[in-house]
Amino acid sequence: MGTLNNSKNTEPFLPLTPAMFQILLALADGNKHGYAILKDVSLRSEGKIRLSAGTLYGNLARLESAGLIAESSKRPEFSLDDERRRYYRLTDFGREVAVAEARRMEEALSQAHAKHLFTKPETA
Amino acid sequence: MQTNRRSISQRFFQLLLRALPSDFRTNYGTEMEDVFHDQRRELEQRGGVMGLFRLWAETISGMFRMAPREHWDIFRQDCAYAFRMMKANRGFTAIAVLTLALGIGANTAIFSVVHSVLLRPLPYKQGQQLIFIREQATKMNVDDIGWSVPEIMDYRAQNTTLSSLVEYHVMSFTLYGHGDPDRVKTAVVSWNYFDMFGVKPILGRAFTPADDKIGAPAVLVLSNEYWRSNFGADPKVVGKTFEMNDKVHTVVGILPPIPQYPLTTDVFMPTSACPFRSSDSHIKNRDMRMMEVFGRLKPGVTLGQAQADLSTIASRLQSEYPKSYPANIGYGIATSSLKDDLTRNAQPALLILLAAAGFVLLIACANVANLTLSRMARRERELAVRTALGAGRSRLLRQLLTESFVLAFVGGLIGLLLAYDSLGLLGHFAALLSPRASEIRIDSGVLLFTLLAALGTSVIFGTVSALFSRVNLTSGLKEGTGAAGGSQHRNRIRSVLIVSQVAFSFMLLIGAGLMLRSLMKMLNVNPGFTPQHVLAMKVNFNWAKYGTSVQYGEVAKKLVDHISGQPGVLATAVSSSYPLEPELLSGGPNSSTFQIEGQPLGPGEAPPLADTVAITPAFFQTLGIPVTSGRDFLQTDNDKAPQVVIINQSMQRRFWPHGDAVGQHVSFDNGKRWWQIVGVVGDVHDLGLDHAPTLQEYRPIAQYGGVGTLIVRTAADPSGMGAQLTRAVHDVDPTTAVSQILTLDEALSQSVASPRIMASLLAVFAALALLIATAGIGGIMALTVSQRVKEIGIRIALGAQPSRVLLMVLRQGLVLAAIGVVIGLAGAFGLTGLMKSLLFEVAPTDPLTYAAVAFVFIAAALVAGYMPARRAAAIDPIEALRCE
Repeated sequence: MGTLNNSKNTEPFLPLTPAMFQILLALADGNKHGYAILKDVSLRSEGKIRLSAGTLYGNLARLESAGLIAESSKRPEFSLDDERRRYYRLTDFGREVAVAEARRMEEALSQAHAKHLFTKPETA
Repeated sequence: MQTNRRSISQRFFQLLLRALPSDFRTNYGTEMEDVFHDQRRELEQRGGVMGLFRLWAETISGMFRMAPREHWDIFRQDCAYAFRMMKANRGFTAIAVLTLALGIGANTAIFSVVHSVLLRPLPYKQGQQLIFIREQATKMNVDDIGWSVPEIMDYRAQNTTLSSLVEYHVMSFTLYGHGDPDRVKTAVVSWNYFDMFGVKPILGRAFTPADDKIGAPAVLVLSNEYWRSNFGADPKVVGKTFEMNDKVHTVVGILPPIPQYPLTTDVFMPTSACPFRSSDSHIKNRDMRMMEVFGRLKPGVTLGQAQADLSTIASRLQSEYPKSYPANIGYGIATSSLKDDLTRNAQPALLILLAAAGFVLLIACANVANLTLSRMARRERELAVRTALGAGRSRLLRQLLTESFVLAFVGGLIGLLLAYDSLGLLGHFAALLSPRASEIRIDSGVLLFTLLAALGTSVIFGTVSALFSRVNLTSGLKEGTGAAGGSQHRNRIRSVLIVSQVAFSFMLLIGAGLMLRSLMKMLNVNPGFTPQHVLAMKVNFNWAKYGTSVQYGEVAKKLVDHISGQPGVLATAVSSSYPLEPELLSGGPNSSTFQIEGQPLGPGEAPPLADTVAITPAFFQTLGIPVTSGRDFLQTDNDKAPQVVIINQSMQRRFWPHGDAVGQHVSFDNGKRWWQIVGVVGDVHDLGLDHAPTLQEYRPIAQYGGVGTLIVRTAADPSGMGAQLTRAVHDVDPTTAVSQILTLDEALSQSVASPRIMASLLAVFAALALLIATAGIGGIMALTVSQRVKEIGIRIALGAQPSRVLLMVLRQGLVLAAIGVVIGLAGAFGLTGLMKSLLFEVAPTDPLTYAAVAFVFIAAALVAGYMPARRAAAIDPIEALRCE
């Protein structure tokens, strides 16, 4: 399955907006419904990134139509399932895009290190 | 309480959701509500109002950040789709875009004129405070008797409602020192004239109080137009000196381009520089009225308050100077806002044109709606598939509306180009109606109007076509069109659209027909003179050289003698003005009150008023005006001879109904002197073919003065003789300015330019409307014939004669046209009353026009229906049945 999407180019999606990247990250470790995504993002960023319902679903709609995420047919076990809610999953292509974005950031970070961006220049 | 609060916030959240596109709402709305509910509940459990506030703030701002993006995305998709559809249906697109371009273009063009002339505030500082003040003699039916200098002083000193009051009058002077002597129309104004209007010269300075003092060095300010046309916009002209009225005049400033009212002039001078205005005979004589007056209301003062204030002064003056304001003239003051005065003439014509253009747009809308409806029938399957794939009804409606908008927008762009192209012609037309015509341009207001017109248009025709396309969305999927019910329904809608097109076109055609009839009647008026082969030119002698009537008489005789000797000249005369002269039409005639020997005025009766023209002998012969009794003036009617006058037939009819005016006496100075009537001449429509001849009296230049125009009757076409005659004038006096060389045919044609252009514009609109409506009738008949092939085939198979089939189809078109005509008739009856002020001797309900237009429509319906009817009659029943 994973190879099917290899032909798709991740380039046009980069850089992702912070909100989009956070949503993809939230789905990286399992399917989630909207509120769970929101909570996950908020927890991981220690409340620094807070998505409103509008922003969340605007981004979900875009990610879904671009094929980065999809509605999941798998649902949690019956006792945990909230049947009103829709669950979203990360598609293989979505994972590739998220990985490409993370790599891009990693690259940027290592370049910052190479340039000693984090060490204060000594004053003469 | 808890549930109550939840339901309020839930409802508010649902309201917020309305900002989103409906598809998005359907897809995610419930989930979003849940998420918001969860967020809110969590915060409530934690307690703390601040968190709740923040949640609301973030939710609202998030929603408004995101909604426009979602809408824009859909709009972009829909536009792209619409362009693909337009490309795929080039024929439909071309016709629809062209129709809309004509409709929107016509509206944009007319609106740009209406906007510039009627709607925009005056281009003066706080223009709404500016007013025009007239002294009137209501009992004599004169609504502007002009102002004298003492009156201006009194009103300026005594009023309490105006922050300033300025005077204005126009004279023609000759300017020397810049090529040939140049006749310049000169506005003589108070020093603070420009300050009051808030107009600052673009170069140099305006006038100062010192300029206005008697004896001050003469100065001039040039109008922008004169500066451009005569000095090539040379900034160095400021400071230059010219000679006028035997005095050196220095140019001190150049005005910006501003509308000039009441007349367009070349230069401005302060009152002290005008040899007449600064003379004692003007300054001290309360009855020497020739000025106009403008004022500026003090802040917070209304026009009504100013009117009351000035009227009080009027009655005070009346009791103080009873001789100057006799009770029988009905002396009074009238004030009007300057904007009303500037636009009064233009208003009815422009509003009628705007309405006509609006009708054209409505007809265009109906036509495009009809076209779209026909196309919808073919798109039903496509729409049905999209519905089956989950597109909601409002989503489809939105798509169809966007398609309409794209069509209308493209039409609007082309319409804008058309409008831009027509501004020259419209500007020329508007200039005949208002001095504000110079301000006409396509600005942001007009662009906004065009955009709104396109939007409105697309909403009208888009909604009509979209709403009625829904009928068979589900059955559209089934092959073979079980959509008979739908197509019948659509045909009804189409018929309604056709009927409305006919009705609106009918009203337009009636409007155009009435204007044309009125114009024809006007052109059929006998002007009272023979304009063919007559050339007229303004000759401006140097005021300083010819001060008295004797001198004028001498130079006029010299001029006539010299010009008469020119080859090709049959007759020649000099006069103060000539019939239908453009300046006479814009500035009004020179008139005098008079009294008749042996016919004293009744108590309280206003003295009669006659238009005065000063002439040399042979004036009537040159113009072909018949002398009906008595004689023409002779060379011997000079300052040494008794004072004589010639009157027109209207004046004779009124005061000497038995036709014995010759030999009687009239006085123009309250009986101090008496003039003998020596002749009676035919009436002349000198103020316009649509103006009834006034009372007219002619006096010899040798006794009265007043040289202004040279009139020459020639053997051949006079239009090429201007240069030759100008040289001849300069032979007599090289310091004379010659201007406005015009044949009387041209003057006559110019005098009816306004109704002619109005009639032409309405005719163009009406022809356009008729064309669209006729095409519409033809289209719907062709469509119904093609829908009824089987039925007609059966009829023919059962023995119906082709001629009967032909008639049957024709009748259908005729019925639509007839219903439209009846509705249009009612509409026209109601609306053409508004045109009354524009019509000459034609009633707004002129039966001939109505009958002719109805006939045109019935004929048009027959022509439009003939082709489809022929096709129907020629249907081969076997073919028709096989097809099915």
